[in-house]
Amino acid sequence: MVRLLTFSAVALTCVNAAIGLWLIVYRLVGNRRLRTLAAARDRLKPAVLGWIDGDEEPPSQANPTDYLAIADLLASYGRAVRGGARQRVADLARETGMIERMIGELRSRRGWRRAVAAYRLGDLASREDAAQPLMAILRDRDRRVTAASARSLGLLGAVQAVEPLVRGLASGQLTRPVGAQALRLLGTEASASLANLLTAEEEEVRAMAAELLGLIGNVGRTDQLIEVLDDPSPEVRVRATRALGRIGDSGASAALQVTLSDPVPFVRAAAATALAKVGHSDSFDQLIEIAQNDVFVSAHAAAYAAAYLQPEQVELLASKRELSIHLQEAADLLQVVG
Amino acid sequence: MANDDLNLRVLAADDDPDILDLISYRLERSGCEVIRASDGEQALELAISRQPDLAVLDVMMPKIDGYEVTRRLRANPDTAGIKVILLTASAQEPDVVKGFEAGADDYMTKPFSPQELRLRLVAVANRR
Repeated sequence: MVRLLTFSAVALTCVNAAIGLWLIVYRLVGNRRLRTLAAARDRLKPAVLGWIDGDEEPPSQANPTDYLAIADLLASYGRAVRGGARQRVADLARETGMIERMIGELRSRRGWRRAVAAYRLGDLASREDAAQPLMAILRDRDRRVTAASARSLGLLGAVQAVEPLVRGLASGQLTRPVGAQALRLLGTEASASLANLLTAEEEEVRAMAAELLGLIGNVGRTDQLIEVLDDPSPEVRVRATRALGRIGDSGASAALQVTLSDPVPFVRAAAATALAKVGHSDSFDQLIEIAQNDVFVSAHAAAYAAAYLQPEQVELLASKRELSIHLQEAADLLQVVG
Repeated sequence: MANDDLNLRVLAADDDPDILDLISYRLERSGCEVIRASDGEQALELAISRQPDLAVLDVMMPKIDGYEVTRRLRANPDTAGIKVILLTASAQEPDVVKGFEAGADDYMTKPFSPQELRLRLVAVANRR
């Protein structure tokens, strides 16, 4: 028994020592690789900057470390520049086989590898080369991958990705910050595709498209948002109403005023707030009526909207007659604000 | 890309060394002397000690942001004449207005075009 225990102790000590030694060697080799890569980066930096600046001679690659250093430099600079300089980054990445390799990495079994490749494609690739492969992984099971893909599609200005991005947002596959940021990067270019989705079959997709149009804030889409104010889904109507308020186009005032009579209270509340944002003073009497007699959510919004549009009138009303608690609150607030 | 002889001393301030690389490379090729700073405090010190003709300042810098650096440059008679181009990630109107109110001469958004920066720099430098 004692011999067995002694043998076990010696064996464990040997295993520990071997693992320790392996870790030290691994660390040393790793550090050496990092130092070699940093040195290659420093050496190749002028050549890469020269290429981005328009030089005809591409940076030379003597070995795999040089290849990695150039990829690293191109990614760093690629995300900082646009226009011709960004195109030069994409050209070199394609010519050296980097793009093909990264697109291959998108099929890796390891999620982090797919995510890194998706992220780097956004910094290095052109829209023509990378949009399709990135769209193909927008429904990846790994959220790191979908987030990286959405971010890169936005950076590349891949307008064709609007529909899958919206559907990803509506289904919860993409988180709101990730999807919305990608669409924000696409900017007004995305608004035509978003407007088409206002008539999509799925309620969630229509609602998301309306909300995103408001965030992008393109006045040219006001008419299409107004049409959605008749949508059978109150969720779609409320988001279209908020979008119109956010865009602030006075051309939407009449439609928003009609929406004050929507059968659903939170749509009426959104309409009141939107009318205040648009600055439609003509709706004042209707807002006062709602603030006095409607249910809590819409009355509260209408009172604040009325006070925002015509503060003196609300203060005058407060001094002359008995008001609803919402209007009284708005009038009190006006006094505090001065 | 154009390699000319602008013969200007330019202060470039950004906490991102990659951006500084890109600015320095393009402007040095255009005949500028580029002084690099990695935060707002260093940018102010270098502006006072080296008296550049023009400063390209990132807005979101550590210690002192680009707006405040611009204000302080304008408030100091020794540095009030330095032309300023702000470089920022935000293209929102309020941020642009804030930059001009601080005293900036021009404004560029990131990601930026090095060639466009050179052209704007020439335009700003030629203003009286």
